[in-house]
Amino acid sequence: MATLLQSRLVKYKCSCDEWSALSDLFYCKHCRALKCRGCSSNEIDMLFCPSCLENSSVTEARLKKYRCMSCNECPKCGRLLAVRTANEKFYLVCIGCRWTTRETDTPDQQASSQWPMQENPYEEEIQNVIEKMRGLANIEKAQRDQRDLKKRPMNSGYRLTDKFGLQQMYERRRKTFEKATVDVPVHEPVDPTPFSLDFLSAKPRPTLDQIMRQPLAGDQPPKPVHVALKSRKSIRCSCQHTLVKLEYGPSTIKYKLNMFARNFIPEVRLSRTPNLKAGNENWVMISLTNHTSCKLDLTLTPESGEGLMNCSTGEIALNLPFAEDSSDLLGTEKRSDNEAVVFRQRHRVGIRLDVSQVAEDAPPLGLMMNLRLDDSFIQTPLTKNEETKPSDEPQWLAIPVRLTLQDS
Amino acid sequence: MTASAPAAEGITIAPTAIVCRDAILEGNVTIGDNCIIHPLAIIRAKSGPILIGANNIVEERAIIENRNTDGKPMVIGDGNTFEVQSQCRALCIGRNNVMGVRSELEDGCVVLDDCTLGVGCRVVAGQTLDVRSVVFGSDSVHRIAADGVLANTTQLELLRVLLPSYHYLQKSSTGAK
Amino acid sequence: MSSNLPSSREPKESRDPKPSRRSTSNLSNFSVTSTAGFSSIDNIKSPVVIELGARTTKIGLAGDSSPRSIFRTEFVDENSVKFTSVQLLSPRSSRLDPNGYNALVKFIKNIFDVLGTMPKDRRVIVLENVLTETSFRVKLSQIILEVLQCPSIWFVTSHLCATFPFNTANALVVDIGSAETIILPVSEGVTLLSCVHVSSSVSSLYLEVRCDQLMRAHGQRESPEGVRSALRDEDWRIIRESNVLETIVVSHCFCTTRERALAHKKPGAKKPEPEAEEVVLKFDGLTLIVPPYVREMTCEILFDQELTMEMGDDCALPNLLHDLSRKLPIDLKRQMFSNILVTGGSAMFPGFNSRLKEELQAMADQQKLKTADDVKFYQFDDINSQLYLSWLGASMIGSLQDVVQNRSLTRESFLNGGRPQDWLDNFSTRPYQAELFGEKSR
Repeated sequence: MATLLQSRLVKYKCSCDEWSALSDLFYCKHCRALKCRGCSSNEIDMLFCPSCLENSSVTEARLKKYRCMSCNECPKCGRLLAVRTANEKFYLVCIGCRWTTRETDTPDQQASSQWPMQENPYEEEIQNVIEKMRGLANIEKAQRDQRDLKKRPMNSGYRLTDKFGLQQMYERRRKTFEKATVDVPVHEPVDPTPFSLDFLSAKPRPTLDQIMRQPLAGDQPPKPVHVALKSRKSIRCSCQHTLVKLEYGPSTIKYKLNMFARNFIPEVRLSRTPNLKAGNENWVMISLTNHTSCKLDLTLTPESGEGLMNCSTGEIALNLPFAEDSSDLLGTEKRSDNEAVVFRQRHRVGIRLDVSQVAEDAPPLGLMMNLRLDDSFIQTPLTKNEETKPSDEPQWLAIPVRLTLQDS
Repeated sequence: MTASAPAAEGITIAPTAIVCRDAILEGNVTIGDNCIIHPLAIIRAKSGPILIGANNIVEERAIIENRNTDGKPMVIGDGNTFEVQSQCRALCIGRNNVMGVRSELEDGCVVLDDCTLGVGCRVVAGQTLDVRSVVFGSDSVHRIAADGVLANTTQLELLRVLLPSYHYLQKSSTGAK
Repeated sequence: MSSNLPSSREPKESRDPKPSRRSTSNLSNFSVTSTAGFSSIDNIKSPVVIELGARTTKIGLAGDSSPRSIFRTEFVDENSVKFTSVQLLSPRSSRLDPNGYNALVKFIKNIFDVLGTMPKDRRVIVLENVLTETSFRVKLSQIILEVLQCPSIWFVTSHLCATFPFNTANALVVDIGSAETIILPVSEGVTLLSCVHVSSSVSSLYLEVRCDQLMRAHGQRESPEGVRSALRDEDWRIIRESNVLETIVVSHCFCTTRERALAHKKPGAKKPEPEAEEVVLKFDGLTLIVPPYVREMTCEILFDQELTMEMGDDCALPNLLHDLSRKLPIDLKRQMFSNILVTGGSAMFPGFNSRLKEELQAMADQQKLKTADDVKFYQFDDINSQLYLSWLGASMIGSLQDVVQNRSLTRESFLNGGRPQDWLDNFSTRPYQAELFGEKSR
């Protein structure tokens, strides 16, 4: 698909000076600028399981360690496990490598979900140590507070009279800090496990990928790995306006709001693989397609300069009807097109650009697309206190485009 | 279209088997009881006969081809599934095996029982898959499974009902016709 | 009256908790103990803890007892260009190649995606080893604070963090990583920088090089007919493509005893009994035989100085530890050897610790030292903790809100020209620095 849409070959310049494919860009009508993923921010809409599409709230997800309780992955190869029944009990099978829970110590379950998870056997010990560290942190904080208190220019009168109960408060606080920290024993160092003849067995230990999937398993038989939840995000422009947002529900593919650049800016494609010969007069065929829902006026100016292909074609002024436009069918509109225009087909035009190549390797071809923005198709009314009110005068938007002519 | 009718020499189809008319059968092919051959499946007995047992499923564009140099027959046991675009040039195949989508068994392989060949996996010429072998992943890693393969009975039953209502079938025949 | 009212309510409330606790455990049929710590009670969002390793990256939220996700430090961008960990983590990548920087930005963005959190909400704790270059931490701070707009960043020393889970203040931390081994003693919670030891030949990279050499000499292939022969060039292509050397090292090699190793090494000596079983790997149409010798002798590169000398100029692990002990203050020498803490993914071999003990004692005997009389190790059994021990320590300290808040570099101060504190800044650095850099250049 990427090669079909030429997303690698044709790049548009985002407002943050990065070059991106049109499909990766958004258009913010409030900033009147292109935005890419780099200069917009994400906001998490919801957490859901990518396998059963069940969505879960943040608190629920946190409780379940951000994993889905009903879907499991194979600990060996990472594929989704299938649930099988036998004698009214459930067990899990991997379709890929045919690992089953039956070859481990996990017994068949009464329910198809809620499979046991690997737990850290040292959990309690670790929590105790954290508790101890918290105690130490409190002492540290008390010391710092005390130091800060001393630094403060103090009117001793306050302290003596303790008019505002500060001293009392201070004493009370000091008492809590003086509380001895929880004494947690050190996890004693031990003699290492000696060499055993079991090492010699050809039975494989888990590979690095398997360990990464289930680090707590060690050399014990693996357990099914609960599928990690995924998040769905909405995209926001730096001006805080939402660019893309889906309807609620993990399975929906409808947009509440989508400001993909493709809906506002015509798409440039190489209509033929350019055949460039060094030193000769060459030509590049491109096509321009209007995917928006209104007629577009634009000029296309080839750019020449350092690191760019030399192009002798001058500025091309065009108007592009939109896909459902019927005026050309009726023949009511007459167009006097530039000679560079090779064909017109509904909302698409073909353009021939004359280029000359001097060197062996072809530099990218630079185009400057000047677009007259017609705000009329933007149905959502702009907020009243917006500084940039939609003026009657059409705005022009300049978008530099780069076409890679030699696909490496 | 009558060309693909059972006129072809040497093709024997058991009366209970379902062979779609658009399936391509060439040479000396015997298809056993309750088999289901989808349209566009190719079974070519080039250099020797192909004997297919009972309860096998051969899906669309699967290729089963006998290229044995010494004219030996290719023997396929019971209950095997050849998924879409799988290629089988094995010497013999046992029972209850699954050949995954786009998988490939090269010339002279031997597949015993209850084996699974994963999607796009390859078994090179002459290799033998032991009982309950699994070949999986992008590196075609071999492994021996603990359990056998689930029999394809339900799939057979479903196809037995569905296929005849959407496709023309080849008539069963006794090779003589 | 009015003062009585709340007190009359109190007993009711104190009766309440029991059933409510029961009901939560009913809701979720798994243990709630894990969340009993920081993450469940506190409304304040726990920080994100990131360890960017040379081979694997461990990520998760502070307070968890194991990383949420571990994955390889690799990134494939939208043009399917693959960036290795060297390209991503090299401090110079931004200068040589802007793509490396962009890839690192996307790689770190991806970390927050995997965690399902938003960068703006979370403080970030990054583990770093003592040799991380300042330019890299500045680059990382820039990405995390400026590009991703996280509120703060805190760099913590991975060696120190590794001691937290064991609740110890004294440990000789041996971190055997993918690219290098760094040994750093920690005494009373203070890292003894003057004694840092580094070796690049004790690493999983060199383990794989060693495995490669041994496989070239001893490895075999088996034809479908069962005939064994030496490996051919196309077999090596398959081996390289499927990354099988890593699998052989990680899941089939082990550390043998000193006695067995010496018997193997001595020409003409009788082979140790019983022999290890050979491993047969079938993949990509190749049947690869991993002979017992390869399984047993690959790890020797960690312990045998003769082998490390062949590979490079660095020392083997026992030599490094003894060198280091010479530098230690006299009262710490014995203590450190009975408090060894081995971490790092390359230390997960069975028998690793016991072999290290044997080697240390053998060497001490040779030199008539008494330092290695009582060699003991900090270890958690059966949870592969070596891979994420440092992460776990950082997760523990990261759950202390006040500590994180006080030590972090905030976004505001970074934007105002503040730079992440170099951990040398805390000490009177000059003598240490001289020694540290002397160590590095050697």
